Amino acid sequence: MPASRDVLVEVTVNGVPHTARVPARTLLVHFLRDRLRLTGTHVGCDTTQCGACTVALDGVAVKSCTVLAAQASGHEIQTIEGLAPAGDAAGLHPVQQAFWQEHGLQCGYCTPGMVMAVRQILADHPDPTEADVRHGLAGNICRCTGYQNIVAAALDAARHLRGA
Amino acid sequence: MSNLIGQAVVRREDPALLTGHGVYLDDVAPPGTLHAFVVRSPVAHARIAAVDVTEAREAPGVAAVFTAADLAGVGPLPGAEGLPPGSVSPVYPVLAADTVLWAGQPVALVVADTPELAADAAELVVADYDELPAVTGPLDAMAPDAPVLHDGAARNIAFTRRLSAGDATAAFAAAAYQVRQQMVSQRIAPVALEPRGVLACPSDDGRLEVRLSTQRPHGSRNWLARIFGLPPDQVRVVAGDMGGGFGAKGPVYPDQVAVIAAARALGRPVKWVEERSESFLATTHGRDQVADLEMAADADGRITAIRGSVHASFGAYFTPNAPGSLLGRLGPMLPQGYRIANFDVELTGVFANTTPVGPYRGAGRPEAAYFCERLVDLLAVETGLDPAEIRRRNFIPPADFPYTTCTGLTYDSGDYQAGLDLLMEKLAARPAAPAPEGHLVGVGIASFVEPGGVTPRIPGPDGSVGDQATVTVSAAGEVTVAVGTSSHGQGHETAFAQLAADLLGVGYEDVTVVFGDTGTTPFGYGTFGSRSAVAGGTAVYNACQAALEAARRVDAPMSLAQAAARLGGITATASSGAPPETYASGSYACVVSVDPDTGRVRLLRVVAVDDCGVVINPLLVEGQVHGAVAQGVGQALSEHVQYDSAGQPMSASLMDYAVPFAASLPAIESYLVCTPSPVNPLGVKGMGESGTIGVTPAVVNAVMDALRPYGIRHLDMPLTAEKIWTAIRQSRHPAGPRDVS
Amino acid sequence: MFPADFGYVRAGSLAQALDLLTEAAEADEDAKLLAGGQSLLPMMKLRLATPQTLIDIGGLAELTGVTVDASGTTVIGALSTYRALQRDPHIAAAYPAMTDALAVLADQQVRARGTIGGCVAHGDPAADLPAVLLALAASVTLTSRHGTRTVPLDDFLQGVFATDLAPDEVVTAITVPAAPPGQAYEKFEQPASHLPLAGVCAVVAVTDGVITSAGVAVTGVAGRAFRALDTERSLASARPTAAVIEAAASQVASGVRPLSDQHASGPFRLHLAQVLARRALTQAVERAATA
Repeated sequence: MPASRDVLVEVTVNGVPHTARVPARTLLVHFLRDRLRLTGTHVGCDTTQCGACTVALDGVAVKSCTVLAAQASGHEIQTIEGLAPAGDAAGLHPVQQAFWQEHGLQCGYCTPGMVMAVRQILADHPDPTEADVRHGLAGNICRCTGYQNIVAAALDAARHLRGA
Repeated sequence: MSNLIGQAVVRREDPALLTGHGVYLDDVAPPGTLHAFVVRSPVAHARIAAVDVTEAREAPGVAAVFTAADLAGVGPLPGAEGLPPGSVSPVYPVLAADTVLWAGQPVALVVADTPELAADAAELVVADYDELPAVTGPLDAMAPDAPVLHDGAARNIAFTRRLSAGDATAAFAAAAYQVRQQMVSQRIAPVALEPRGVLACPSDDGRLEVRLSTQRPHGSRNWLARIFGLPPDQVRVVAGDMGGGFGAKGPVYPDQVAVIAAARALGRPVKWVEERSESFLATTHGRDQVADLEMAADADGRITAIRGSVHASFGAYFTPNAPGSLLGRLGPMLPQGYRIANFDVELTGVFANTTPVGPYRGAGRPEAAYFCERLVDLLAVETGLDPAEIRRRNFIPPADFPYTTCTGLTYDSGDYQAGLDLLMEKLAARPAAPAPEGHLVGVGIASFVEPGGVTPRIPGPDGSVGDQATVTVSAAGEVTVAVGTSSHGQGHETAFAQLAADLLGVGYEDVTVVFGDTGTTPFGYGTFGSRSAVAGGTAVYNACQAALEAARRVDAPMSLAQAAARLGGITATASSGAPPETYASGSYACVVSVDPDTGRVRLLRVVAVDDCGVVINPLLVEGQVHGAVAQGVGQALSEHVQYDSAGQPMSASLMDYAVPFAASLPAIESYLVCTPSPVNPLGVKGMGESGTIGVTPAVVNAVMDALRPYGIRHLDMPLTAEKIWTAIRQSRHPAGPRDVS
Repeated sequence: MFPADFGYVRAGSLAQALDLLTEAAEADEDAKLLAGGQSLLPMMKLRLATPQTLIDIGGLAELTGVTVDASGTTVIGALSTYRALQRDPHIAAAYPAMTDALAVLADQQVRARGTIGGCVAHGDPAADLPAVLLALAASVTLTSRHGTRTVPLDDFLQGVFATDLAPDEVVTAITVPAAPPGQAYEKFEQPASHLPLAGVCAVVAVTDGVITSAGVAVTGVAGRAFRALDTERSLASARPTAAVIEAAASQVASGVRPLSDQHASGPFRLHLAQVLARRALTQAVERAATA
């Protein structure tokens, strides 16, 4: 049986290829945080619900706490750090910019996952209704903002991305 | 440049947080950090027969396993504050030694190279428990045959305190109307999105640096110094970026203390972060009271008295500020914003085999508002008065401030009438989203008053009571403001920079605000109870005045920056002087629809009118209203920490504990009125918790309004679909439940 | 939060996956297939499942895709993700009930990974899709080294997390017959988990104002999703009036022993099933009329 307790993970993260041998049970979120020191992706629960761990896998938002690093091997990951690599006010992605302007974050813990989730919602619904956004956030929990300004940010970003 | 106070300035905290560069507890790991896993009691009440850690100690990667015996010299945890004389205040151990009193109580600590290996080894700890019967609620804990948790607390009663004023008996005897209702403010969980934890870094010279999930860095530092027998200046507590607290990150916890003890014993950094399901067992819960209260009114609907009882469960052990929520907040705030002269309420604190209770957003004030506003609505029905009218008739009028309540609290200022008027105007101005056909529509309002800005009566290192702030102006004109409050999402870096820039007459960009690190910030009590604008703001104000005063000592008139250049820098420290508490207020309305076929409640509108005095940053204030409203809606409709009869937790994961999602909430309409506070130089009032206080009774009142056709008088929270559907069924068939549909 | 240790192997082909499964079965080793992992990994993180070996079939493109034959029978590759099905034009056109269910199933992130085969193989009594697949009279294709068999989903689902899947088998396809346009799925969700406390799918064919066929299935209420045969019988050859629908819906859970927990009692679930059946049938009939 060729099954192995360690796996060789070869994954491109934010455009940078990485190779590492890790225990098979390593979750993608821990691989990103502990191995690659990309701590912007957060862990908020243990039942695949809160969405704080949301990243993009081959361009599609997934919950990195419910993907093994082994499963991600051979694929491309984008984390919050890869959305606006400059890391300063000048280089924010329109979704990040909208969150900032609309006060869409307070403690900031859910925020990376929220931003990655909103990015996906807008990719799928370029002209969303408020209901589309609220429904699209079924996989993300925020305890600080009451979601109101997150929704406003999403709608604002959508307008911006449409060039409106 | 000036007049930043009152401006909707977007937050300077955000770029880092938005790009994943926040530094939260679990983001930090010095080289050589070990990881801990807490072994917890799986049963609610038991004598510990044995704890065998030998196999765990031999497991791969394990550095050590600790039990109570290994930590014999450590602790206990700080006791409860503000207890009445004669109260039972049990010693709260770090690791359980002889008995466990709640499912989740820490019993052993495994420390290993990685969190995974620590979790693996924890499974090898074998503990034998001789189970005992358990009690879980405040009333059944007092039953004559209930198992007793603590020596000296007969029937599990920790204390009783009676608040009386005037002559309630006479008032009830003479009353034209009276209503009585038993009401439950159910046990709920704060669920800050960042789990709680600690990173303890001992050093060879005996100093201790702790990165701690704490809302109170200096308070925690002092507690830890006492627990470990260290001089306070040998202990440094750093909060860092924190993913929410809501009160639950105020106390110092046994699991954190055990981890710190382990780090000191091993001479290495040790980190522990709770898992989410674990947090439902380990982190303090809120509320958990049962009230049986009556309200009397005269023929004009003027409330003459409140009397009755409130029984509060504190769980297995007191946390320091839990009794204060009942005794200092819930009880005395029952009269809310109404002129009530007669009062007789007995407050009883009870132990039970459940997770210890701690302050949770509102901490006694949501309960007070809920109990009172439900009674007022019932009184409205009894008297036939409109719910807004009955409140108007009873409000303390603006001319009567400062107003001392019959329970001895002095409200600084307010115009409750204006708030309610604005609410009713906004409510009428826009129709709600149409309710689906066949649904019942209900409207509910609630008014509230709530204290904020408390300063604990605990002296700081210089012997005085108050938060401190230090303003430093460099010779180059850069301003640093260090303050003893401790933001964890509230935006103080931005708000206090606005404040200081205006007060000092400098540019906003020239001001840096720091807090949350006992190594670099002056003493303070931290951030909780909506205190920071009042207490931190006053400290910042006073420190700015002191800096300006220092600048004026230069012999010619010049700007602060010029004076700093001339003097080679200015540093000024000032205390807040412990300003009195302020009293924010508001009126909220909810419009709901209820599907009679399923009992499901939908929120059609939430309208919030808040009076928080002078506003520093309206964006931040509105954000606080939104977030607090969401939590208040959660209590009203879906959140509930539940235990079975054996004390087993039944809602210990987000799969079972229903926090609101985006689709559960409508857009919240938020408005402000302003009665500045006369008791602090800024005129600000604390308001971070107001949303939880105002919205919960408004939602419940609205649902009860919708159910009026069925003659349903009251339903306890959470108002789940099944609860409502069952009540509707039973009302249609008063003889008892019949066949489904 | 951390799964127990296990061995991991990625299957390069279906054949290899079958070999690995067979070897594990013969060695009496506890091996599980890993597809999207959205049901298995959460259980492993809570250590409710502790397989010794995970065989990752998530990369087997041969098991994805949606094909339709001339008769309108649709074959869905077992590894098709919910997201892929949501974006498939044929699924959207032919199975509006599936579109209904996919829109309210879990969340966008889970739908990006979770697969229809994983759902069927897992046998969760509180999953949305089985109600839709049962009402559509779907069948499941299972492949092992010994060959392939196809069974009706109704026979495949056996109970709480119990299916007819043999230890050496892989679910490779779900086959759904052509269906009339009169379809709808209605759900009442548990507010924390978003899982259905009750979910009902109705599929009706209406010709000349008479119901010529009806498939009605319920999930979340019992130990497995089930066909409401009494409801189906009472609809056959009837005119789809409100009274007929009401009467049919009232039988949707007759004789069923319901699940019960702190989120919903048995009687409440039975009641919800009736309410949702009425709503799903009403919507299905409307869609049949407008088609």
